[in-house]
Amino acid sequence: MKGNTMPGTLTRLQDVIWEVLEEEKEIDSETTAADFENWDSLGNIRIFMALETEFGITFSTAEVASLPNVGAMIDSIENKNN
Amino acid sequence: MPMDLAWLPALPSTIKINARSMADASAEELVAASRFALSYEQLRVLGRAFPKKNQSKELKPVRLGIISSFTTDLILDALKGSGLRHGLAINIHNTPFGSAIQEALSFEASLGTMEPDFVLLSLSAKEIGLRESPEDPEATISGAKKLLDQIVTSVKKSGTTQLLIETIVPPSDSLYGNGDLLNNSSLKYQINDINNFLRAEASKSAFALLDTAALAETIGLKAWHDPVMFHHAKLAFSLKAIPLYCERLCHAISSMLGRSKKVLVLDLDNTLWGGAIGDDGIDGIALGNGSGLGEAFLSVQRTALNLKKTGVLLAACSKNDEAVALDAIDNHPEMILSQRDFTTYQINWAEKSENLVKIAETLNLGLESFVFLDDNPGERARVRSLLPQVSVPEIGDDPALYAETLLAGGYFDRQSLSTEDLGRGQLYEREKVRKVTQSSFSSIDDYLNDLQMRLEYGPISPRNLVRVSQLINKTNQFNLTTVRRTQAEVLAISKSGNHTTFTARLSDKFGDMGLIAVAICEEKNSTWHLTNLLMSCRVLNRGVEAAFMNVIENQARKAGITQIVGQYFPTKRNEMVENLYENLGFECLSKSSVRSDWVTKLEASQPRKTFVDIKSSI
Repeated sequence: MKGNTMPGTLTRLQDVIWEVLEEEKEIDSETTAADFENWDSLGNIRIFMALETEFGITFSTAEVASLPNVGAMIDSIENKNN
Repeated sequence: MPMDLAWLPALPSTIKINARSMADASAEELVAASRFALSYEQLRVLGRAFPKKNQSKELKPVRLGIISSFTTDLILDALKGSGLRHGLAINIHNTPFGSAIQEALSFEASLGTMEPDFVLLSLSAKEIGLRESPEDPEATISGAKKLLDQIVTSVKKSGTTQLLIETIVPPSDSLYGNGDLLNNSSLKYQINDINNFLRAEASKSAFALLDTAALAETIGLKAWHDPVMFHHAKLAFSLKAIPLYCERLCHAISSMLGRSKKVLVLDLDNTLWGGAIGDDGIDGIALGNGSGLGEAFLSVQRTALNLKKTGVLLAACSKNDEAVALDAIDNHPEMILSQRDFTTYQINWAEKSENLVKIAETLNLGLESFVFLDDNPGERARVRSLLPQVSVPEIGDDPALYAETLLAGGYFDRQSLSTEDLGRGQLYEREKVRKVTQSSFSSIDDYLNDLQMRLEYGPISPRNLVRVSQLINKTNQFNLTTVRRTQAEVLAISKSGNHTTFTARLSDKFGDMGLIAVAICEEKNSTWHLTNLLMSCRVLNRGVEAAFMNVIENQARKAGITQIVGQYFPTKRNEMVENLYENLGFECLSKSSVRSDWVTKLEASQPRKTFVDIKSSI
């Protein structure tokens, strides 16, 4: 699976975020934590953990702290899956 | 995956567990969903959905206070979800992060006012003062113990709350390498010392123990810890371990409530032995030392017997002809379990669920205290759907893993402080005997005598053919001729008119060693020629070979034989038996570098002195 040609990362990520946060808002690459009521620090950790399980990858301390938006998260996931 | 709940059935793809799908679920539906191997997020959904529902009468309400050095927010909902699986409606009173010691020391005035049934105390090494290279390690350790003592006193003052203390999981990294547990200035040493202190106190009933350190050790410390999550949120361990952690905590709570499982019901065919006794017969089933498969089934039996010794009742439930199955239990030489190990049994062709109900009636125990072990996925699914209160572990299809998976399920969790488990007393008694045995004998004869060895002999038969062939073809050291034979050849010899064959099983006060020796005698002119004589090395230096030769000579006399001759063919591996015939009192006929020949005249030969009781298995 090549990063740029992998369709569905956004959809899968959106499903994870919806499940974890129990909030169903459309997301795109510009979406940030501030767009969700429940995306607080613990919610953030749960999202990253659920993504690790969903995509079979691990995130670094820095990534969990500072990936700025959904677009950056997708890039990171697709790079790891490369 | 080591942190999976492998003993629970996988969630069927037809059931979706998310906030939306569970929003309107009844308590019963939530409990039913909880019985699958759920992920952290799925457990959390159940835990969050439950309090909105009417409490079910089927669930036992439990008030749990938590005092922790770690962030517990992420555990709470998943713990409630796990509780459903154990019939518990857990209500949690959490204390604020960062105040664990204060909360514990002022328990009566703070958390105690909520009157929790249980309080879980989960302290970090750091919070009780443990650290790498303190100035005075001994003072650091004794200070931590004193603090723990004060906390126990503080919580116990409240009277009704039961205290559950968690052991400290050591770090996965190693500062001193091999010396980690040798230097009291190392953090690992201090944690180990405190954990042993907690275990010792718990064994004296000061409190109950949640041995998370032991759990993490089983999983592997590397997998248990998640440094990224710890640094971000002070989580005690990886979120992926939460389902397992919650499960273990529910086991501890269940055990404190007297709700641990009490009965292990065992299927027979392909669960306690390989094959179907009705089709394969007593000689055809796989059981016993000598084949990997046979040993795997032994391990299942051994685990069941070990559980029995801790107070678990055993019962058998099998679709079989009762007489045929009981004959195998009574007469298969490798059976570890005997009929009297089973408190009761139902062996017939009826539905297993009906038989389980009958067993429950016989024992006068509820089905919720039952665990049912069966290799057949269809039977398991049927029992699960007809009797959902019975625990039916998924055990896969490899008998080598049955016991491990059953035990991982933690059904029979119990604190060591229980005195009702009569079997445990016997266990300690036996340990004591073993220690005495190792230490107190002045002579080897005393020791051998005390071993209470029993040798049971019989001919080679279809029942032991596999093991005998294995010994003949694999034994290198205690093997006089090293003549190898195929299984078919061994079988032919066992049926031949001019051969007499011997096998010996040995047991002693510590257990059964199985079939350990083989001899094949070929008769020519009133003489027996020992074409094969070999013994397993696990019974060396006990005079077993002398006892075995006594048996052979005795039978030879009865058969009208006048002398027995044997050869020793040296190999690179069998030097240990170079002088065997000489030591057994044989005369040397000839000796060269490639062979030596020996004879014993039965007229003159006397039985050798041994410490082995002899019994014929025929």
